Amino acid sequence: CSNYQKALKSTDNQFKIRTIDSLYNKEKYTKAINLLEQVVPQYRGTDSAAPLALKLANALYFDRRYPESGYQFETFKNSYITSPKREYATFMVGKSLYEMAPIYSKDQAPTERAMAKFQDYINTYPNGEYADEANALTQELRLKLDKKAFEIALQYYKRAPYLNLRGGFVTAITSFENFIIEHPGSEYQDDAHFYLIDSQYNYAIRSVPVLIPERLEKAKEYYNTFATRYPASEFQEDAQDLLEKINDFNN
Amino acid sequence: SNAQRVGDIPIGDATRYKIGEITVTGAKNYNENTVVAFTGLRKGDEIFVPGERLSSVVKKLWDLKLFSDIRVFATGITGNPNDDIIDTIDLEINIVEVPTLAEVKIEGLKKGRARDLLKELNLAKGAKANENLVTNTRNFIENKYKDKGFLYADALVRIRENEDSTGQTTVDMRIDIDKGKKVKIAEINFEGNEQLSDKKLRGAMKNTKQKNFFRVLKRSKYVEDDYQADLKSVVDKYKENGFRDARIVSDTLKKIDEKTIALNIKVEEGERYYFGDINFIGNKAYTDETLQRILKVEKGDVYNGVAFDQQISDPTDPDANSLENLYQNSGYLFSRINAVETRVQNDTIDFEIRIVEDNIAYFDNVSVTGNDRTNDHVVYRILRTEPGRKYSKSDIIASIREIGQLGFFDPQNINPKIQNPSQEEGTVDIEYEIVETGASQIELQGGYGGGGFVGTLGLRFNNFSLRNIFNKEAYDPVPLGDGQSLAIRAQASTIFRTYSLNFTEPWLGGKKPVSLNVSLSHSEQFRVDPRDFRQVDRDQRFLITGGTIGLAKRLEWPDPYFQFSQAISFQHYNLKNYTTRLFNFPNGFSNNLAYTVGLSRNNVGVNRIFPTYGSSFSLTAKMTLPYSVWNGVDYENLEDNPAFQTNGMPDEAKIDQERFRFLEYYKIKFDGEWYTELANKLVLQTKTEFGFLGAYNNDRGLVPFERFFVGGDGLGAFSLDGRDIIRMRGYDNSSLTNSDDGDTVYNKFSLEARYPITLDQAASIYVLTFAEAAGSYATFRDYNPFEVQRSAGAGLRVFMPAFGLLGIDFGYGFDPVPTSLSPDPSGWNVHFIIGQQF
Repeated sequence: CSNYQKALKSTDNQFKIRTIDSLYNKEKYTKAINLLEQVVPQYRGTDSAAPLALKLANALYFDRRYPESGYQFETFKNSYITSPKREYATFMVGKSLYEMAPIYSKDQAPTERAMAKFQDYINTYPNGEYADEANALTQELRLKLDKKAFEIALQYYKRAPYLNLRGGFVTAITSFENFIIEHPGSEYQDDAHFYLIDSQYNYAIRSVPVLIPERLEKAKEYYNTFATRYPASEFQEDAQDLLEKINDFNN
Repeated sequence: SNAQRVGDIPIGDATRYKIGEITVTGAKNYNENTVVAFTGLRKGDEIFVPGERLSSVVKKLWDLKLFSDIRVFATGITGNPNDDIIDTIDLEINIVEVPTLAEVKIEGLKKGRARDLLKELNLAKGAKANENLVTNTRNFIENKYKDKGFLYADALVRIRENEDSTGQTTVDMRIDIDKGKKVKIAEINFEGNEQLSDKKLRGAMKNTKQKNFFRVLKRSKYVEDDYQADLKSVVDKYKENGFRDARIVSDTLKKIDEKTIALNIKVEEGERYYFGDINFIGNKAYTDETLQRILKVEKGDVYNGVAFDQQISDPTDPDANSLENLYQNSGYLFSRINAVETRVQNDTIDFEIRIVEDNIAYFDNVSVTGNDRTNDHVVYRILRTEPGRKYSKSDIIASIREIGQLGFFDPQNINPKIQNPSQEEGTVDIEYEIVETGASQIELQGGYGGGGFVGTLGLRFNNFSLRNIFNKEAYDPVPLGDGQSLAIRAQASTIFRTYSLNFTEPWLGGKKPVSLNVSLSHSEQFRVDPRDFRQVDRDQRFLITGGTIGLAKRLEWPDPYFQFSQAISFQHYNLKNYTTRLFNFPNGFSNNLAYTVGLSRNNVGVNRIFPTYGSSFSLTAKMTLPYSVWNGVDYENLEDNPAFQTNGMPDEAKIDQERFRFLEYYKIKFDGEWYTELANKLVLQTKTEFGFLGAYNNDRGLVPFERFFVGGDGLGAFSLDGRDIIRMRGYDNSSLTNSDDGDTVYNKFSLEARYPITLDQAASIYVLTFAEAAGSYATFRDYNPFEVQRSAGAGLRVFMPAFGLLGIDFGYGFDPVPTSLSPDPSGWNVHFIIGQQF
């Protein structure tokens, strides 16, 4: 620790670098970063610049300072085009953003940026060392976006009875329809299909009498799509019940 | 690996070469190898000359902003251009490094000002001194001072190149500033104006004003940009008065002396025009009559181009009652409205208003971005624009207001982005871009009051998340994001302590705007020697512990301005050796368990501090259970009951303890106010109030709590007993109240005319004059709504966001004070108002 204080004040760059290495190995990243930030500008334009820049980016990542580590990896990737570590840096840009991705119910800008960065990596290094991990993490992020969209639609669905007078069920129907189109392959697809039937059914039975049959017919169409596409869905039973209700209403 | 190679495209008639040697010349501070590595060019790579890759290399270097010149030369080509083998090219990259800034010196300003300016200029040591630096710096400084009215501000910027010991080139900068005198406008003269007076035209100039001793709010100064905008306002003033062809012929600025100038403006007025026939074409959704009513223009009216355009479309006012908004608020996103002059005959202009309605559009995708801290559901639930709903501009504006009112986001930074409008599908997407702001407050204060040091510690979290209270990861520094509010407050001095906790969930259950409020409080008061506040006896104390739980619901019917609320409150009073006027016993307790139900309606607008329209009503009833119906106590004859006697005499303490074990009462209050604009900006507030406290059982009697105190400034004091303090200007505080314990019936009527002096963001100020009448009655038997005390007077209100509302009223009471023996009128009273009653 006293070495760290000495190194902070020292003008001997070699001493600083030795201290950095020792701190880095002991996982004392915050202190290593402070020293690295002093040293990096001094070595700009020399052969030591690249390894130092990478060390700084790594230390920031391990210190959970992801916005900064993302920036440093990105800078590394753009500056040292011929470095063998460029592939790693390209991947770590995405990984830093991945770590910043918040819970699904908040703004997903970092999630989308992380997905784009992983895609960059996969495009540049299709058979790269980290391609599997990049794909897996992308999948995880996509699930987050799916969940966000589904939960928003579900919120409209839950409020629909209360907002009936200003078209609450139409809102739920529109939202689930959009979800189905915009999130293909999502694990919430069968849920969305089921809620779509339910919303359409509720919309129909609250309509003026002349419009009920045609709107129930639409609910039945939704049911048929659901039944053929998701025969094993956990919502099958509930959907059956809805179909019976629709048929009862018609008789 | 090959995958890294950047794609290259030949430009024009290019040749393909293999790179030989790459050299870098002109580098002083930068290593040549680094520059080469940065370009990504390598020996053996194949490139086109000229080609996309080579030019991207130059651009990449240029973007670093470290070089003032970058050239790539071919220093040698080897090989035979006529064979099939690719020739080799040697490249030289010649760079000129931008010198760095070493020292900046500012002359002609005070030290502090110079330092501030330096910060604004952003000229840190090590900044790159490129070509534009000198010009940019001079322009920045001169414009900065010109905008403040220093017309002749002059900044001389000089630079000198140095070479330091290491051979690096650096630059020193010296800035000499001569602000000159602040220039005022001595006179603004008009020439050629016959129809509109000089005074009227000067009034039209909003920011360019003549020097005048009485001008306090808007100082006279000359700012070029403002002046140009004001010249346009002069022309607009003519257009508003029918002079369609009016123009500024010339304008000159004459220097009178160092400090003053004169502006001479020559106008050409032209003819005054009138409206002729106005025809609507293409309207199917609305009739000519409806459109005509909104346009507010009839044949024969003086031609007013400005107002006419505004009635069609007014981009400055999103709430405008314009033709465009009529369509935009009812789904017609793609509608277009054009007014075309079809004929000008003498001084009469005919118009055709051509409308293309197109399809109705519906909202499709609705999204919110920028909520880094707040959960989606908190924002989505208040949006008026829902998927599948008809497009409406006013719904977007209402949504923006609702987001702003949450208090979690910067109201100036709510950006609704209309996306993917599709005429064919009849759909449109909207994305609300928002920016989080801090919504928590910490209150920590100390001060003298109530006879000693009073310390207060308060914490208020306005975007709390209760469900995350056990989720360690959500702490930042407290769990936030669900739109709930949590306030904790502790206040203590030598003679009292109060603790309170308040929690509100605005959308209980998440489906409807039903708000749940839970509050708990505890207070302790100790006996103090009134002559020496340091003599506190903690064995004589009065404890009050209580809580309230309430639900409030915004109603959809009869209209969304209605709110229905219910609450249950409980207070436990505990006395030990403590005598107060409230009870006839020094040791004992009392419970106040009550249910409150209220219905209110409020559509007062638009400014909370200075409403100009709308009304607000509220009717509440607070009641306890009628315990005496079943508890079998014969309250009338308690005095004769030996259990309530001491030595054969009735014991007041025992009797009161029995009467107040559980308080029994009901209380009804009504409050109504209306706002009407009498003339431009002059607003009349009409207000009426009524309050009544009753007992279910006359033998048990009226409780000494929850009573009304009428008279004075209406400011609430530290009160323990649920009292209502009613303002009545022109009389002393509580002077209309007949009974020492407070009265049980009151009513009040008042008229107040208000006129704003300024309604700025920084401060709203208005003057008022009032006439009011109020009566307070000990019991309902004394009630006579016409037996009231009257007063009139005038006052002033100042609202500043940092201080809240401050005010002073001078009121004259016309009637004698009922509680005084003097038959004279109450006379003049001065009332100070702090932080209440808008």
